[in-house]
Amino acid sequence: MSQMIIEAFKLMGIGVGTVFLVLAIFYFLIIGLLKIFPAKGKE
Amino acid sequence: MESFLKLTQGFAEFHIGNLIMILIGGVLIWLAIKKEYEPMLLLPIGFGAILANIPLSSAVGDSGFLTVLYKAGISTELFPILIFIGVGAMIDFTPLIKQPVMIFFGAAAQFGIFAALLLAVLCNFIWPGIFTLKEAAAVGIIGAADGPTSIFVGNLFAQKYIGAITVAAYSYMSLVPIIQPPVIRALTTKKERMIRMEANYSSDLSKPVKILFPIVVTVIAGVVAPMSVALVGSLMFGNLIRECGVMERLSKSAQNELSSLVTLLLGITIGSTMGAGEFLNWNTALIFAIGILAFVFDTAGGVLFAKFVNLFLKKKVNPMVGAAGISAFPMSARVIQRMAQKEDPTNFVLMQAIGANVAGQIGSIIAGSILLALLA
Repeated sequence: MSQMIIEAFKLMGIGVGTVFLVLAIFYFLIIGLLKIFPAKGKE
Repeated sequence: MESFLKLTQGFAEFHIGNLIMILIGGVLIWLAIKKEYEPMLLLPIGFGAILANIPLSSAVGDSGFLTVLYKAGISTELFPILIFIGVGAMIDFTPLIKQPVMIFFGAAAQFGIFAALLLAVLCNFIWPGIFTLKEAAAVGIIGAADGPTSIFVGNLFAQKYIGAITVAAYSYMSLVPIIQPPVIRALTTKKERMIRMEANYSSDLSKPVKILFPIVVTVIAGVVAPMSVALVGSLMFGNLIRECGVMERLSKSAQNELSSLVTLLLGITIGSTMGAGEFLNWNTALIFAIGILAFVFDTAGGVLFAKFVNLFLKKKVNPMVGAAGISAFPMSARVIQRMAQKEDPTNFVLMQAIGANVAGQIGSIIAGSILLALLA
Protein backbone atom coordinates (compact mmCIF):
# COMPACT_ATOMS: atom_id res chain seq x y z
CA MET A 1 0.00 0.00 0.00
CA SER A 2 2.64 2.52 1.05
CA GLN A 3 4.72 1.30 -1.91
CA MET A 4 1.80 2.19 -4.18
CA ILE A 5 1.59 5.68 -2.71
CA ILE A 6 5.30 6.19 -3.22
CA GLU A 7 4.85 5.04 -6.83
CA ALA A 8 1.95 7.49 -7.24
CA PHE A 9 4.07 10.36 -5.90
CA LYS A 10 6.89 9.35 -8.24
CA LEU A 11 4.47 9.30 -11.17
CA MET A 12 3.21 12.72 -10.17
CA GLY A 13 6.70 14.20 -9.98
CA ILE A 14 7.97 12.63 -13.16
CA GLY A 15 4.69 13.28 -14.96
CA VAL A 16 4.35 16.97 -14.12
CA GLY A 17 8.07 17.49 -14.68
CA THR A 18 8.10 15.80 -18.07
CA VAL A 19 4.99 17.65 -19.28
CA PHE A 20 6.70 20.94 -18.41
CA LEU A 21 9.95 19.80 -20.00
CA VAL A 22 8.33 18.73 -23.28
CA LEU A 23 6.24 21.87 -23.52
CA ALA A 24 9.32 23.97 -22.71
CA ILE A 25 11.01 22.32 -25.69
CA PHE A 26 8.00 23.30 -27.79
CA TYR A 27 8.31 26.85 -26.47
CA PHE A 28 11.87 27.11 -27.72
CA LEU A 29 10.83 25.38 -30.95
CA ILE A 30 8.23 28.09 -31.60
CA ILE A 31 10.71 30.84 -30.74
CA GLY A 32 13.20 29.26 -33.14
CA LEU A 33 10.64 28.92 -35.93
CA LEU A 34 9.57 32.54 -35.49
CA LYS A 35 13.21 33.63 -35.66
CA ILE A 36 13.80 31.71 -38.90
CA PHE A 37 10.45 32.65 -40.44
CA PRO A 38 9.46 36.00 -38.89
CA ALA A 39 5.82 37.03 -38.83
CA LYS A 40 4.71 39.34 -41.63
CA GLY A 41 2.89 42.64 -41.13
CA LYS A 42 -0.82 42.46 -41.93
CA GLU A 43 -1.65 43.51 -45.45
CA MET B 1 -46.21 -22.43 -24.48
CA GLU B 2 -42.65 -22.43 -25.79
CA SER B 3 -43.42 -19.44 -28.03
CA PHE B 4 -44.94 -17.62 -25.08
CA LEU B 5 -41.84 -18.26 -22.98
CA LYS B 6 -39.65 -17.01 -25.80
CA LEU B 7 -41.65 -13.81 -26.13
CA THR B 8 -41.61 -13.13 -22.41
CA GLN B 9 -37.94 -13.96 -21.94
CA GLY B 10 -37.03 -10.26 -21.99
CA PHE B 11 -39.39 -9.54 -19.10
CA ALA B 12 -38.02 -12.45 -17.11
CA GLU B 13 -34.47 -11.16 -17.49
CA PHE B 14 -35.36 -7.55 -16.70
CA HIS B 15 -33.76 -6.50 -13.42
CA ILE B 16 -33.82 -3.29 -11.44
CA GLY B 17 -30.22 -2.61 -12.62
CA ASN B 18 -31.40 -2.56 -16.24
CA LEU B 19 -34.14 -0.12 -15.36
CA ILE B 20 -31.72 2.20 -13.54
CA MET B 21 -29.27 2.13 -16.45
CA ILE B 22 -32.04 2.84 -18.96
CA LEU B 23 -33.06 5.79 -16.79
CA ILE B 24 -29.43 6.97 -16.68
CA GLY B 25 -29.33 6.69 -20.48
CA GLY B 26 -32.50 8.77 -20.56
CA VAL B 27 -30.93 11.41 -18.31
CA LEU B 28 -27.90 11.65 -20.62
CA ILE B 29 -30.20 12.08 -23.62
CA TRP B 30 -32.14 14.74 -21.69
CA LEU B 31 -28.93 16.58 -20.79
CA ALA B 32 -27.87 16.45 -24.44
CA ILE B 33 -31.16 17.72 -25.85
CA LYS B 34 -32.51 20.00 -23.15
CA LYS B 35 -29.29 21.40 -21.68
CA GLU B 36 -27.17 20.99 -24.82
CA TYR B 37 -24.33 19.48 -22.75
CA GLU B 38 -21.97 17.89 -25.31
CA PRO B 39 -25.00 16.64 -27.31
CA MET B 40 -22.87 14.99 -29.99
CA LEU B 41 -21.46 12.65 -27.37
CA LEU B 42 -23.97 12.40 -24.55
CA LEU B 43 -26.91 11.56 -26.81
CA PRO B 44 -25.24 8.56 -28.50
CA ILE B 45 -23.76 7.45 -25.15
CA GLY B 46 -27.20 7.64 -23.56
CA PHE B 47 -28.83 5.68 -26.34
CA GLY B 48 -25.96 3.16 -26.35
CA ALA B 49 -26.55 2.64 -22.63
CA ILE B 50 -30.24 1.95 -23.30
CA LEU B 51 -29.41 -0.52 -26.08
CA ALA B 52 -26.95 -2.36 -23.87
CA ASN B 53 -29.33 -2.65 -20.94
CA ILE B 54 -32.32 -4.12 -22.69
CA PRO B 55 -32.26 -7.74 -21.53
CA LEU B 56 -30.93 -10.19 -24.16
CA SER B 57 -30.21 -7.24 -26.43
CA SER B 58 -29.00 -8.25 -29.88
CA ALA B 59 -27.01 -5.01 -30.06
CA VAL B 60 -24.44 -6.38 -27.62
CA GLY B 61 -23.06 -9.85 -27.07
CA ASP B 62 -20.65 -11.73 -29.33
CA SER B 63 -22.22 -10.78 -32.63
CA GLY B 64 -23.98 -7.57 -31.59
CA PHE B 65 -23.11 -4.59 -33.75
CA LEU B 66 -22.03 -2.55 -30.73
CA THR B 67 -19.62 -5.29 -29.67
CA VAL B 68 -18.27 -5.41 -33.22
CA LEU B 69 -17.80 -1.63 -33.13
CA TYR B 70 -16.15 -1.87 -29.71
CA LYS B 71 -13.67 -4.47 -30.91
CA ALA B 72 -12.97 -2.54 -34.09
CA GLY B 73 -12.82 1.00 -32.76
CA ILE B 74 -12.19 1.08 -29.03
CA SER B 75 -10.08 -2.02 -28.35
CA THR B 76 -7.85 -1.07 -31.25
CA GLU B 77 -7.87 2.62 -30.16
CA LEU B 78 -8.88 3.51 -33.71
CA PHE B 79 -11.83 5.81 -32.87
CA PRO B 80 -9.90 8.18 -30.57
CA ILE B 81 -7.13 8.41 -33.15
CA LEU B 82 -9.56 9.23 -35.97
CA ILE B 83 -11.26 11.83 -33.78
CA PHE B 84 -7.91 13.47 -33.17
CA ILE B 85 -7.38 13.86 -36.91
CA GLY B 86 -10.65 15.79 -37.02
CA VAL B 87 -9.78 17.81 -33.91
CA GLY B 88 -6.37 18.67 -35.37
CA ALA B 89 -8.04 19.89 -38.54
CA MET B 90 -10.30 22.12 -36.45
CA ILE B 91 -7.59 23.67 -34.26
CA ASP B 92 -5.81 26.85 -35.20
CA PHE B 93 -2.52 27.00 -33.30
CA THR B 94 -1.92 30.63 -34.34
CA PRO B 95 -2.89 32.15 -30.93
CA LEU B 96 -0.39 29.84 -29.26
CA ILE B 97 2.41 30.40 -31.76
CA LYS B 98 1.95 34.16 -31.52
CA GLN B 99 2.24 33.98 -27.71
CA PRO B 100 4.40 30.92 -27.08
CA VAL B 101 4.65 31.61 -23.36
CA MET B 102 1.03 30.43 -23.08
CA ILE B 103 2.29 26.90 -23.62
CA PHE B 104 3.37 26.69 -19.97
CA PHE B 105 -0.21 27.11 -18.81
CA GLY B 106 -1.04 24.09 -20.93
CA ALA B 107 1.45 22.19 -18.79
CA ALA B 108 0.41 23.60 -15.40
CA ALA B 109 -3.25 22.80 -15.93
CA GLN B 110 -2.47 19.09 -16.30
CA PHE B 111 -1.81 19.00 -12.56
CA GLY B 112 -5.31 17.63 -12.01
CA ILE B 113 -4.47 14.40 -13.83
CA PHE B 114 -1.71 13.53 -11.40
CA ALA B 115 -3.51 14.88 -8.32
CA ALA B 116 -6.54 12.74 -9.21
CA LEU B 117 -4.27 9.73 -9.74
CA LEU B 118 -2.87 10.24 -6.25
CA LEU B 119 -6.36 10.65 -4.85
CA ALA B 120 -7.48 7.40 -6.48
CA VAL B 121 -4.47 5.62 -4.98
CA LEU B 122 -5.23 7.12 -1.55
CA CYS B 123 -8.75 5.67 -1.77
CA ASN B 124 -7.09 2.33 -1.10
CA PHE B 125 -6.62 3.48 2.51
CA ILE B 126 -10.38 3.53 2.98
CA TRP B 127 -11.31 0.75 0.56
CA PRO B 128 -8.30 -1.55 0.29
CA GLY B 129 -7.68 -2.83 -3.24
CA ILE B 130 -10.28 -0.58 -4.87
CA PHE B 131 -7.94 0.75 -7.59
CA THR B 132 -4.63 -0.60 -8.87
CA LEU B 133 -2.01 1.95 -9.89
CA LYS B 134 -2.97 1.56 -13.56
CA GLU B 135 -6.65 1.98 -12.76
CA ALA B 136 -5.82 5.05 -10.69
CA ALA B 137 -3.98 6.46 -13.70
CA ALA B 138 -7.02 5.77 -15.87
CA VAL B 139 -9.22 7.60 -13.38
CA GLY B 140 -6.73 10.45 -13.19
CA ILE B 141 -6.79 10.89 -16.94
CA ILE B 142 -10.32 12.31 -16.62
CA GLY B 143 -8.36 15.43 -15.65
CA ALA B 144 -7.00 15.59 -19.19
CA ALA B 145 -10.39 17.15 -20.02
CA ASP B 146 -10.00 15.44 -23.34
CA GLY B 147 -12.32 12.62 -24.44
CA PRO B 148 -10.10 10.76 -26.91
CA THR B 149 -7.09 10.79 -24.55
CA SER B 150 -9.28 9.54 -21.70
CA ILE B 151 -10.58 6.71 -23.88
CA PHE B 152 -7.09 5.88 -25.14
CA VAL B 153 -5.55 5.62 -21.66
CA GLY B 154 -8.68 4.24 -20.00
CA ASN B 155 -8.95 1.41 -22.50
CA LEU B 156 -5.38 0.32 -21.89
CA PHE B 157 -5.39 0.61 -18.11
CA ALA B 158 -8.94 0.03 -16.92
CA GLN B 159 -11.23 -1.50 -19.51
CA LYS B 160 -13.91 -2.28 -16.94
CA TYR B 161 -14.21 1.42 -16.08
CA ILE B 162 -14.05 2.77 -19.62
CA GLY B 163 -17.76 3.69 -19.66
CA ALA B 164 -17.59 5.58 -16.35
CA ILE B 165 -14.32 7.31 -17.26
CA THR B 166 -15.59 8.44 -20.66
CA VAL B 167 -18.97 9.63 -19.43
CA ALA B 168 -17.29 11.48 -16.54
CA ALA B 169 -14.75 13.11 -18.87
CA TYR B 170 -17.33 14.31 -21.40
CA SER B 171 -19.88 15.33 -18.76
CA TYR B 172 -17.39 17.44 -16.85
CA MET B 173 -16.05 18.96 -20.07
CA SER B 174 -19.54 20.17 -20.79
CA LEU B 175 -19.78 21.45 -17.21
CA VAL B 176 -16.60 23.56 -17.46
CA PRO B 177 -18.67 26.80 -17.36
CA ILE B 178 -20.04 25.65 -14.00
CA ILE B 179 -16.91 24.00 -12.54
CA GLN B 180 -14.22 26.56 -13.34
CA PRO B 181 -15.62 29.99 -12.28
CA PRO B 182 -16.00 29.28 -8.53
CA VAL B 183 -12.50 27.78 -8.36
CA ILE B 184 -11.03 30.77 -10.20
CA ARG B 185 -12.91 33.25 -8.03
CA ALA B 186 -11.73 31.48 -4.88
CA LEU B 187 -8.09 31.72 -5.92
CA THR B 188 -7.96 35.24 -7.40
CA THR B 189 -8.77 38.76 -6.32
CA LYS B 190 -10.98 41.10 -8.35
CA LYS B 191 -7.87 43.17 -9.11
CA GLU B 192 -6.12 40.10 -10.54
CA ARG B 193 -9.13 39.19 -12.64
CA MET B 194 -9.06 42.70 -14.12
CA ILE B 195 -5.45 42.47 -15.32
CA ARG B 196 -5.18 43.42 -18.98
CA MET B 197 -2.89 41.60 -21.36
CA GLU B 198 -1.53 42.75 -24.68
CA ALA B 199 -2.36 40.58 -27.66
CA ASN B 200 -0.43 40.54 -30.90
CA TYR B 201 -2.96 41.11 -33.66
CA SER B 202 -0.65 43.12 -35.87
CA SER B 203 1.17 40.40 -37.77
CA ASP B 204 0.41 37.21 -39.66
CA LEU B 205 2.40 34.05 -39.13
CA SER B 206 4.38 32.96 -42.12
CA LYS B 207 3.17 29.79 -43.78
CA PRO B 208 6.32 27.71 -43.15
CA VAL B 209 5.85 28.17 -39.39
CA LYS B 210 2.29 26.87 -39.57
CA ILE B 211 3.40 23.90 -41.66
CA LEU B 212 6.55 23.05 -39.73
CA PHE B 213 4.92 23.36 -36.30
CA PRO B 214 2.81 20.16 -36.50
CA ILE B 215 5.62 18.18 -38.09
CA VAL B 216 8.35 19.17 -35.63
CA VAL B 217 6.05 18.83 -32.61
CA THR B 218 5.20 15.28 -33.68
CA VAL B 219 8.85 14.34 -34.08
CA ILE B 220 9.96 15.87 -30.77
CA ALA B 221 7.01 14.48 -28.79
CA GLY B 222 7.54 11.10 -30.44
CA VAL B 223 11.22 10.99 -29.54
CA VAL B 224 10.60 12.05 -25.92
CA ALA B 225 7.54 9.81 -25.43
CA PRO B 226 7.15 7.26 -28.23
CA MET B 227 3.75 6.28 -26.80
CA SER B 228 2.51 9.73 -27.79
CA VAL B 229 3.09 9.23 -31.51
CA ALA B 230 -0.38 7.86 -32.21
CA LEU B 231 -2.19 10.65 -30.38
CA VAL B 232 0.07 13.61 -31.13
CA GLY B 233 0.70 12.34 -34.64
CA SER B 234 -2.97 12.10 -35.54
CA LEU B 235 -3.74 15.50 -34.00
CA MET B 236 -0.86 17.12 -35.86
CA PHE B 237 -1.65 15.27 -39.09
CA GLY B 238 -5.11 16.81 -38.98
CA ASN B 239 -3.55 20.20 -38.33
CA LEU B 240 -1.10 19.79 -41.20
CA ILE B 241 -3.98 19.01 -43.56
CA ARG B 242 -5.58 22.26 -42.39
CA GLU B 243 -2.50 24.45 -42.66
CA CYS B 244 -0.83 23.10 -45.80
CA GLY B 245 -3.29 24.98 -48.01
CA VAL B 246 -3.50 22.35 -50.74
CA MET B 247 -5.91 19.90 -49.11
CA GLU B 248 -8.88 22.08 -48.36
CA ARG B 249 -11.42 19.45 -49.34
CA LEU B 250 -9.81 16.81 -47.13
CA SER B 251 -9.41 19.32 -44.32
CA LYS B 252 -13.13 20.08 -44.46
CA SER B 253 -13.92 16.35 -44.60
CA ALA B 254 -11.78 15.72 -41.52
CA GLN B 255 -13.44 18.60 -39.67
CA ASN B 256 -16.96 17.62 -40.61
CA GLU B 257 -17.72 14.18 -42.01
CA LEU B 258 -14.90 12.23 -40.35
CA SER B 259 -15.36 13.89 -36.95
CA SER B 260 -19.14 13.58 -37.02
CA LEU B 261 -19.19 9.96 -38.11
CA VAL B 262 -16.54 8.75 -35.68
CA THR B 263 -18.02 10.77 -32.81
CA LEU B 264 -21.38 9.15 -33.50
CA LEU B 265 -19.94 5.63 -33.52
CA LEU B 266 -17.67 6.33 -30.57
CA GLY B 267 -20.52 7.64 -28.45
CA ILE B 268 -22.92 4.79 -29.03
CA THR B 269 -20.12 2.24 -28.58
CA ILE B 270 -18.99 3.77 -25.28
CA GLY B 271 -22.63 3.81 -24.17
CA SER B 272 -22.80 0.09 -24.83
CA THR B 273 -20.09 -0.51 -22.21
CA MET B 274 -22.40 0.86 -19.54
CA GLY B 275 -23.99 -2.45 -18.65
CA ALA B 276 -25.70 -2.48 -15.25
CA GLY B 277 -23.25 -5.08 -13.93
CA GLU B 278 -20.19 -3.01 -14.73
CA PHE B 279 -21.59 0.47 -14.13
CA LEU B 280 -23.76 0.29 -11.04
CA ASN B 281 -21.26 0.08 -8.24
CA TRP B 282 -19.46 2.33 -5.78
CA ASN B 283 -16.37 2.44 -7.95
CA THR B 284 -18.34 4.31 -10.60
CA ALA B 285 -19.53 6.86 -8.03
CA LEU B 286 -15.96 7.24 -6.81
CA ILE B 287 -14.68 7.71 -10.37
CA PHE B 288 -17.20 10.51 -10.90
CA ALA B 289 -16.24 12.13 -7.58
CA ILE B 290 -12.49 11.97 -8.32
CA GLY B 291 -13.16 13.12 -11.89
CA ILE B 292 -14.75 16.40 -10.83
CA LEU B 293 -11.90 16.99 -8.38
CA ALA B 294 -9.46 16.43 -11.25
CA PHE B 295 -11.08 19.36 -13.10
CA VAL B 296 -10.89 21.46 -9.93
CA PHE B 297 -7.19 20.64 -9.48
CA ASP B 298 -6.54 21.37 -13.18
CA THR B 299 -8.10 24.80 -12.82
CA ALA B 300 -6.30 25.49 -9.55
CA GLY B 301 -2.99 24.32 -11.03
CA GLY B 302 -3.29 26.71 -13.97
CA VAL B 303 -4.38 29.70 -11.88
CA LEU B 304 -1.77 29.20 -9.16
CA PHE B 305 0.99 28.74 -11.74
CA ALA B 306 -0.01 32.04 -13.38
CA LYS B 307 0.09 33.74 -9.97
CA PHE B 308 3.52 32.24 -9.34
CA VAL B 309 4.80 33.46 -12.71
CA ASN B 310 3.44 36.92 -11.92
CA LEU B 311 5.88 37.16 -9.00
CA PHE B 312 8.69 37.47 -11.56
CA LEU B 313 7.00 39.38 -14.40
CA LYS B 314 6.79 43.11 -14.95
CA LYS B 315 3.85 42.76 -17.32
CA LYS B 316 1.50 40.64 -15.26
CA VAL B 317 -0.53 37.77 -16.64
CA ASN B 318 -4.22 37.61 -15.88
CA PRO B 319 -4.21 34.47 -13.68
CA MET B 320 -7.57 33.39 -15.07
CA VAL B 321 -5.79 32.63 -18.35
CA GLY B 322 -3.91 29.88 -16.49
CA ALA B 323 -7.20 28.06 -15.97
CA ALA B 324 -7.71 27.95 -19.75
CA GLY B 325 -4.71 25.62 -19.90
CA ILE B 326 -7.07 22.66 -19.58
CA SER B 327 -7.85 20.85 -22.77
CA ALA B 328 -11.60 21.56 -22.94
CA PHE B 329 -11.41 23.58 -26.14
CA PRO B 330 -12.75 26.20 -26.78
CA MET B 331 -15.17 26.13 -23.85
CA SER B 332 -12.59 27.02 -21.22
CA ALA B 333 -11.23 30.01 -23.17
CA ARG B 334 -14.77 31.34 -23.59
CA VAL B 335 -15.45 30.97 -19.87
CA ILE B 336 -12.30 32.96 -19.05
CA GLN B 337 -13.21 35.73 -21.51
CA ARG B 338 -16.72 35.92 -20.07
CA MET B 339 -15.34 36.18 -16.53
CA ALA B 340 -12.83 38.85 -17.55
CA GLN B 341 -15.58 40.91 -19.19
CA LYS B 342 -17.77 40.53 -16.16
CA GLU B 343 -15.10 42.30 -14.11
CA ASP B 344 -14.25 44.83 -16.81
CA PRO B 345 -16.39 44.94 -19.98
CA THR B 346 -13.51 46.42 -21.99
CA ASN B 347 -11.00 43.68 -21.10
CA PHE B 348 -10.24 41.12 -23.84
CA VAL B 349 -8.17 38.09 -22.89
CA LEU B 350 -9.74 35.69 -25.39
CA MET B 351 -6.68 35.50 -27.63
CA GLN B 352 -4.40 34.59 -24.71
CA ALA B 353 -6.97 32.18 -23.27
CA ILE B 354 -7.28 30.38 -26.61
CA GLY B 355 -3.48 30.16 -26.78
CA ALA B 356 -3.42 28.50 -23.36
CA ASN B 357 -6.39 26.33 -24.32
CA VAL B 358 -4.75 24.84 -27.43
CA ALA B 359 -1.56 24.39 -25.40
CA GLY B 360 -3.70 22.38 -22.99
CA GLN B 361 -4.71 20.16 -25.89
CA ILE B 362 -1.06 19.31 -26.51
CA GLY B 363 -0.27 19.14 -22.77
CA SER B 364 -3.05 16.65 -22.06
CA ILE B 365 -1.87 14.31 -24.80
CA ILE B 366 1.70 14.51 -23.54
CA ALA B 367 0.53 13.82 -19.97
CA GLY B 368 -1.52 10.83 -21.14
CA SER B 369 1.42 9.52 -23.15
CA ILE B 370 3.75 9.84 -20.17
CA LEU B 371 1.36 7.76 -18.08
CA LEU B 372 1.30 5.17 -20.85
CA ALA B 373 5.08 5.19 -21.13
CA LEU B 374 5.60 4.83 -17.37
CA LEU B 375 2.93 2.27 -16.63
CA ALA B 376 2.23 0.26 -19.78
